Amino acid sequence: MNHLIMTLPFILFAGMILLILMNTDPRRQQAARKFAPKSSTRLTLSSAIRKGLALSLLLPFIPLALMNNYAGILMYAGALTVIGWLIAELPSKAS
Amino acid sequence: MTDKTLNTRSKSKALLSLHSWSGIVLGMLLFAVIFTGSVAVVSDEIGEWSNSNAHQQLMLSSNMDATIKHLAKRTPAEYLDEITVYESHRQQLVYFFHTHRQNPSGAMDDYGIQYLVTPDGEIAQQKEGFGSDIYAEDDANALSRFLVAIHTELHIPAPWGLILTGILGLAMLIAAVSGFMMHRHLFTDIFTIRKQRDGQALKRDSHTVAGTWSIPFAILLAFTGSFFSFATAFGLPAMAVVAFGGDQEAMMHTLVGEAENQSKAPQESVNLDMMIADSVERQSSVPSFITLSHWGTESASLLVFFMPDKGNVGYEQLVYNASNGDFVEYKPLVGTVPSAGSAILSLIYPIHFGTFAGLFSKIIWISLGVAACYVTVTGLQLYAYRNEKHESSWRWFSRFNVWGFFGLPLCSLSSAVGFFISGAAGANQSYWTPMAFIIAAALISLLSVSIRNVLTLKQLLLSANGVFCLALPIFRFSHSDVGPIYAIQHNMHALMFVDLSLIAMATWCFYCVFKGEKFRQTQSTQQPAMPVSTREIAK
Repeated sequence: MNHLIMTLPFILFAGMILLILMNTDPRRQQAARKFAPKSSTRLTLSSAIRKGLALSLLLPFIPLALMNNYAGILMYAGALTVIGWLIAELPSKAS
Repeated sequence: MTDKTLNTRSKSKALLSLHSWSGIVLGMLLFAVIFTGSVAVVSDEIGEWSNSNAHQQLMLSSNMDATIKHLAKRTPAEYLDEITVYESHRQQLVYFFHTHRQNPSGAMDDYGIQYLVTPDGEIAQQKEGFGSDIYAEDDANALSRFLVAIHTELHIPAPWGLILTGILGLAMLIAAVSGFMMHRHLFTDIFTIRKQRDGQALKRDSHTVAGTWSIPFAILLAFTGSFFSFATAFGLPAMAVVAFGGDQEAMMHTLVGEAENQSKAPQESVNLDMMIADSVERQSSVPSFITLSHWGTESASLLVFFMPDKGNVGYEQLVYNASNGDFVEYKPLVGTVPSAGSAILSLIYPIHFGTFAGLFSKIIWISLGVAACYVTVTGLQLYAYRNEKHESSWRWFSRFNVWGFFGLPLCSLSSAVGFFISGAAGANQSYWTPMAFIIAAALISLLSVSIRNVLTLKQLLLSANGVFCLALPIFRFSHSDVGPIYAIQHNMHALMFVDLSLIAMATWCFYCVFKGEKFRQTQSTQQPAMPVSTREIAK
């Protein structure tokens, strides 16, 4: 069970990073503005920071590999896919 | 326009055609395979749930050594060749004493006597025959076996079912790779789902976003699924013909890594329970099954099979010398020495079915299956939307989509209802489980061609799905008297998981029905005042 518990913090970390990436996504904000042009101020991040955040999603693979937690690697990759998709499906704040 | 631009455009067009046609032609069958695959991930849990049972780890608590000695005395000597033992879903240990023979279809099979033994060591049932036939008649597995068989073979006779699912896996692979190659803004659009004027998400965006996220796993699962289908349908028979002159038994000996013509001189085997206890200590988990070869002879051996554990993804097989009880080796899945091929093969099944970290990994794999289903559903709906703008009110392709997307889950739920009702009536569950599916499919098909309004048909099928999802835990409870409190008290995780999943699905179905009704009311009130033209929606 330990290797499962060790994977959970990484999955939570990925969920948080994905939420930030989703909320600061310029294309998503552009699409949402069509429905609510005068909506409240939006969180913006520079392209470099966004790229850094996206790359940080790969970091958990390193400790998981060092711990020989191969099941954790697969679960993290699977959870990343599912959380990413579900977060993308969330309605934009303005719509 | 330069030649390079023209070339790129024609390539994109070709990829789009490949992507669309592979999806349109095989989309519904692909949906059936992916949907049933998502269900098959929890086939073990469904097996436990359908019998209101939780595994009792009987292999650790029973005196298996004494039972085997007792059963061996009443079993013909020819069946002592190999003995397989595992725990069934009905709190019994299954002992299958067998040898290997060709079955009527020409494939190598196990043949012998199967005993179902209670925890007290009493023989509850005894059956003689081919292993495949005995397994196919086992009522304890009727529901989970049926759901897995739809996924692997679509219930089409061998080898055609396997060939079809193999082709479907390749179609999924083609659709995933071509979708990946043709999308120009793969990463920039990964969070973007635009809305239409009525607030509905654009189907194209939903399809693209879900497809983009699930591409790596779609490729992985499609490849491993195709491998299974083609390896069983073509690979192994072809290998037997090419490398072993058609001798399937010799091929199996080589693949399993077992020496032929071993000594059959009688020799008392050591205590089985001691060897199992040693393997449990080494692995810190409970074996899934054990296989004893040449029990009671000089060459007696024991293989103990464990599901992946401790962060590993592949299986573990421990081999013991049963004549002296010594641990021999961690045996590779194929052959006698570790190899890359054996390592890859031992990973394929857990990766395809997500069985490498218990329920946790299975939940993630089911979610991946749902994402893949969503991609198929939105892809076919997109095609229907684009091609039925000016069609009659019957909208045949949309109707076909509703029939498949809402009908298949309903048929699967009906098979579970059939399982419980036939069980309560004392009828043959192995017969009535698939029969309930067929009856439901016929009724749904009839409804699909008789209800003119597609939205009404969709609402009806969704409601029926919701009602069946709610009814199944009640059926299970009335069939077994194992309620939620008892399940919590006895740590029946599989049972609680399936019950709660069904209740969650019922809630989702009723929510969708409610949303659909609201949408219909909005449409009917808006339409006379402000007709929304197809062109406007398309914009």
